[in-house]
Amino acid sequence: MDEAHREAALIGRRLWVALPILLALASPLTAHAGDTADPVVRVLTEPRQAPNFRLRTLGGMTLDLASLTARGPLVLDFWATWCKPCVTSLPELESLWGRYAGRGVTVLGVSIDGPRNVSRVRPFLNKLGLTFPVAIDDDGAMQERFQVVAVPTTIVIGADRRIRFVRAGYGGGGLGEVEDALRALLPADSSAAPADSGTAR
Amino acid sequence: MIRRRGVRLVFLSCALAWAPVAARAQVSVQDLLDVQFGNAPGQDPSNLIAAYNRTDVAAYTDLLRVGAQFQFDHNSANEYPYALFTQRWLELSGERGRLRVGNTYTILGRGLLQRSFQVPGVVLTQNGTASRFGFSRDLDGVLLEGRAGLVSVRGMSGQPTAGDISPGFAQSIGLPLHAGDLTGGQLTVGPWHGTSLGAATMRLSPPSGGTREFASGFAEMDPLALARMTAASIPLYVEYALGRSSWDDWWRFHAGDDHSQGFYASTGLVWGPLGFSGEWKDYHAMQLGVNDPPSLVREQSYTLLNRTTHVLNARDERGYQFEGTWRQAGLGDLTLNRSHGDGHLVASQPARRFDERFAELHVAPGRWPWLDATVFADRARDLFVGAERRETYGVSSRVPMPHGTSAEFDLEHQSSSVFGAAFVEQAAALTLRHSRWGSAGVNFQSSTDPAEARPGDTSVTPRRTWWGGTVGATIEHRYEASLFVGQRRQGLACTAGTCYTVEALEGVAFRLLTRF
Repeated sequence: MDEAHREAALIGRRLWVALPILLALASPLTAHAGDTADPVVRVLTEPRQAPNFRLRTLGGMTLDLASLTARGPLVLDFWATWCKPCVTSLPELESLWGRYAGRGVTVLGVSIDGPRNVSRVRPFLNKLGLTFPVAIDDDGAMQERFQVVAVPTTIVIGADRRIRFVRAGYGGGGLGEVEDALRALLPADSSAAPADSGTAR
Repeated sequence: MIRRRGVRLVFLSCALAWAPVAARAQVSVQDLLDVQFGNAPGQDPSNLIAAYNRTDVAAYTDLLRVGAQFQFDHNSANEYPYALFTQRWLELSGERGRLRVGNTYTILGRGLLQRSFQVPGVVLTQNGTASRFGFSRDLDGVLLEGRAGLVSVRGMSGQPTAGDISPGFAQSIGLPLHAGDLTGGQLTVGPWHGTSLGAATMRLSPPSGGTREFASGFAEMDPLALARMTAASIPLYVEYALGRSSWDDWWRFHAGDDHSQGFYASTGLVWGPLGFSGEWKDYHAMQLGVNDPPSLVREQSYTLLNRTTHVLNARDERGYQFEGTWRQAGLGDLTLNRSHGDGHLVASQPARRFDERFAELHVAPGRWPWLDATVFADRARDLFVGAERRETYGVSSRVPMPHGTSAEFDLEHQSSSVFGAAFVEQAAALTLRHSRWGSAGVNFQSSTDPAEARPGDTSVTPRRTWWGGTVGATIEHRYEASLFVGQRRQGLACTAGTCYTVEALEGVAFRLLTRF
């Protein structure tokens, strides 16, 4: 075993001891630490400002965070043509957009399809009957900015550009949580459409 | 060496510039913890404990971003443990462009020449060891992007990595994670709406020596958009890339068998309920280690099709892919796909062929919300890996239930003949999901493939099965946890267009994703 390997092994042993401590720190039991006045903890627990970005949609429009949140909340949905749960969740997102677009909500789909699948994106959208704007994250910059590790990942950003809701994966049974997050950001409106867990088809 | 110092100097200068604004920066932290207990069947020790952790930290304002990635891995067999910062970067971005110093992801054209990327959430195992690591093929250097009017430019310089080696293993054999030298750039002009013309160049010096230069030209347009017709669209894309050690005869398309060349073209049609895409490829000596040419193979989400997908042979392969879709509003949709590839694994041997036909019918009548089912059929042969015949059929369905609950099931059957050996495989999965609480599921696979026989099984027709159960939950939107118990099958898996090997496991795997 050479020097570098011995050193790494030593660090590894220390980390092995530290692992239970890390697990404990990551425990949900510490999730309400935001009540503290500690500024460092507050920075980590308060809704944080969304990172700025600039994207070109399939339709050729260039959009940035400021323009997307100018009218109200933004729902950012990361998806891919090869993602099976996306086939179910995307039509529900279309349905949600149909109900909330009139109240200032913007929906932007971000396809993380690499060069391998990019030519199939338009037919895929057409097959599912999706009409909300979609952009391609061809260099992975958006995935890195929003730390996306799974698709679909749905992010709700308020008009104040703060991230209010993040959900990785799709649980089935509708986008109730996304809708709840949007309702909390929108002024009360008695004419708002009731929640609909059906699909757009 | 001089450039590495330069990069560090720029990094340090930018970090100092960052300091005054750090106080009002936003901070985002994400941690992925993956712990396994158990081992591949027949491997010692059977009670191996392996812990992998990756932390990504970023702090940012509107103009400046700074971040780092820390990974550690340790296992009870003490094989190649490590704990180190695997990425650090600083980025300055604005209306007109961005400058990034450190580890970066970027692309030239459609990736024929260069593409650096990561496969998020995927944890790989170093072949033959217990050491694990995240899959990231980044570039460590400088990236500069700018745009003004109709013109946009992108330039990069740095050290690439293939991303397929464990940092602990690399340390032990004295191999740097990033090695060699890559300098490249592209210029794109968009004279009309939806139209762009571009050219890219790249100089690549691998650590083994032998600098080579590459160039590509690409064009993208939609003639119907140019004619301001909005009822349909026909996007077109063409790219041709060439790599040589001498550019004296730069005007020749075919540079000879000793040189790298790649051609990729795609088109499509979206008109009413009809969708169509067509792609063509011709790659010769395009396996550069820093690129990712489109493979023109449908990426499948079905278990058995995903693990038997064709992996592009960029050394020598040409072919096409066509896909047609039809949507019937209120009823469902139909997808038909045909992929084809020919090429040589070894120049002196006969050409190999890959051919696949896939059909999928999805039925989801609006009037019967309880019915959401998909059936598929796939017929393929992939002589690149000796598969003379492979037929796969399957059905999957999703049944919505009250109170935000749904049930999903998948059934798949595959019959194959590989190097003369005929065998069948089956896969089944049942998952219950709740929109707020999480999911619970069981999955099953079986195979009579002699190559998959359980260690010690000498029967003439061995049948092997794999059982597993997974429970997943989201807690307070900050924590996503999943627990797997059972047997995980070894084999190929493809995510986001990239294929890798999943190692077998008989035991327990726990994963926790934490977001701050």
